Amino acid sequence: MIIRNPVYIKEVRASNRSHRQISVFLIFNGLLAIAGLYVLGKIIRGMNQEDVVNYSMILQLYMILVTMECSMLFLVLPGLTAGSISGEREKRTFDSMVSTLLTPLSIVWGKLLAVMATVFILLISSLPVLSLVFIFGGIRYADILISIGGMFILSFYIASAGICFSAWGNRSLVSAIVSYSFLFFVTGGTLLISRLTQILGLESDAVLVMGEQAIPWYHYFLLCNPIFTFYALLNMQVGSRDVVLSFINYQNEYQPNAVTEHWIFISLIVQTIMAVIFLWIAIQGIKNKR
Amino acid sequence: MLEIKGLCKCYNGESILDNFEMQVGKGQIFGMIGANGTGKSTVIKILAGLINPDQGRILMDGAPFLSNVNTMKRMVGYIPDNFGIYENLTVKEYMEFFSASYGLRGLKGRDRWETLLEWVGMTEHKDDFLEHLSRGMKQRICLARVLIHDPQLILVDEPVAGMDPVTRSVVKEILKKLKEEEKIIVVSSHVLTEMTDLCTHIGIMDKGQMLIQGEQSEVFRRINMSNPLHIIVLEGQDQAVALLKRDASVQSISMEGGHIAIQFDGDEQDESNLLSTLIGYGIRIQAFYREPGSLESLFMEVTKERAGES
Repeated sequence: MIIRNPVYIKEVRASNRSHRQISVFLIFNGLLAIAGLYVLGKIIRGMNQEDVVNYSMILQLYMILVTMECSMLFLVLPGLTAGSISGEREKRTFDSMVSTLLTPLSIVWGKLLAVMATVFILLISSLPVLSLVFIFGGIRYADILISIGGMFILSFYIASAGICFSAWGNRSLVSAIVSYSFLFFVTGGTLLISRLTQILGLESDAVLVMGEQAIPWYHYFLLCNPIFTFYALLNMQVGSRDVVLSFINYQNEYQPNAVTEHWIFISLIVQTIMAVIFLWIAIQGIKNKR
Repeated sequence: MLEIKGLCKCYNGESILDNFEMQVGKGQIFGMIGANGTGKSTVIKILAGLINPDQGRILMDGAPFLSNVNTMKRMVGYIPDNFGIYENLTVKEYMEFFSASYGLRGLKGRDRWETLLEWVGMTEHKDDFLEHLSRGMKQRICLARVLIHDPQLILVDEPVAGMDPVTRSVVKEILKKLKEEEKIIVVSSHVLTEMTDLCTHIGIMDKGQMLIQGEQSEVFRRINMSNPLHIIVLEGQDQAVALLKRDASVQSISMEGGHIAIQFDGDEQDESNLLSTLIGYGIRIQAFYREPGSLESLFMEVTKERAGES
């Protein structure tokens, strides 16, 4: 079904020979390599000075590389998706495309697949840099695979949102602005909401019984936050399982519940559902005959 | 036969199509003529399934046309005014994309688009990138891709804008072939002179309505009836003028040497009778004809009449 989608084939052909795509690959892997080599150099200098291998530094290298990769990926995605459908309108190829037998679903699906193919190549192309963490050991292949898999799934969510905004926009610039605004809301905005009462100093003055309060509803916005999910996933890999609770429950007044216990799994489901909703809205955007 | 009845479309409260009517038969090339903003593209886009009408019926061979989107799309080939070209694909990739979009894959699809490229004379350019082709070549490629699924109804929006002579002749040739295949071809344009050559039937649009439509010669004839009748007399001018003055259908006479121009109110039968009378009186006539109208004059005439009515 994937390779038979004409939109996907067209997109991959067109994007693979574009200068923009090559630049994205170069900058993405270049920055990652510079960061990786810098931290590795620091580790080696430390080893030379102290004559011991500091394995926590290797863990740090892994965390830095993977976090950086994930952040860059999320920053690149709205740019990749913003023009996917609105660009067709701008270049005035949209009418020709939708007048064929292609269904709105196959158009959206083809566009999404093409973006996910780029994400996949970006992730695979970063493997040589990520493998720096294997020089001294301490990180398993499975950890890298889980991180890459996590990034891929979360990218699906961000890409779906970008395609949705692109399907409803007539101009790629507007779609890009809305996509980035959405990204900043779900990443920074949800963190802000979670900490709003603390920031505004609205915390209850009542004497709290430690660990017995229900978690307030606004903290659950974090389930939509892909960076937070990835942060939780990374921390789970390095053995800090209670990172979610320690962020939300920094004063230890809340009672853990099933959601905090299975945060990563639930947030992935929530974000997948949101991605499907975005794709459905994108389809309506194409169906919409103005 | 394609029939459009009572089609209405409004944008932001402004009426674009107002009770629009049109009939196009098989094997006809129908030219929709009108100034910019008269609703030509809206009609084309409704027929291509890109816009929904607010009201009205579209029938193809008596059956509702817009009710089944897939069936409709199979029947329609649509060329937008800007062609819808993907600049960063090769001609071959472009044709493959559109043939796959109509479910034609593999050898079947390849055979079809190769034949069409041959038709439009672009076979040797199949590995070229579209961005490197001239506008005329892009137009030809676009015409080839629109025929990929062998549509019954071909919609061409402003086809002649910027068309070079080679492309014009190729397009004309292909449209002629399609006409012979009993296709229904609807062409919209505001470049009137080009439409005279291209179309068998014409319709003149203004303010979202079809003012006049029919076979090109018939439409011309209807409008030309108000044009002066020219008679070039070699011998017997005075006698001819005297006879003309006696004819009730002659409204006015002007004369310059042997060239007499009259405003004649009669139909073709009356014209024939008048000619017989003149010849019967021994007047030697070199020419007897209605002043031919151009599409421009026809368009101006029709829109002027409408302005007068409103």
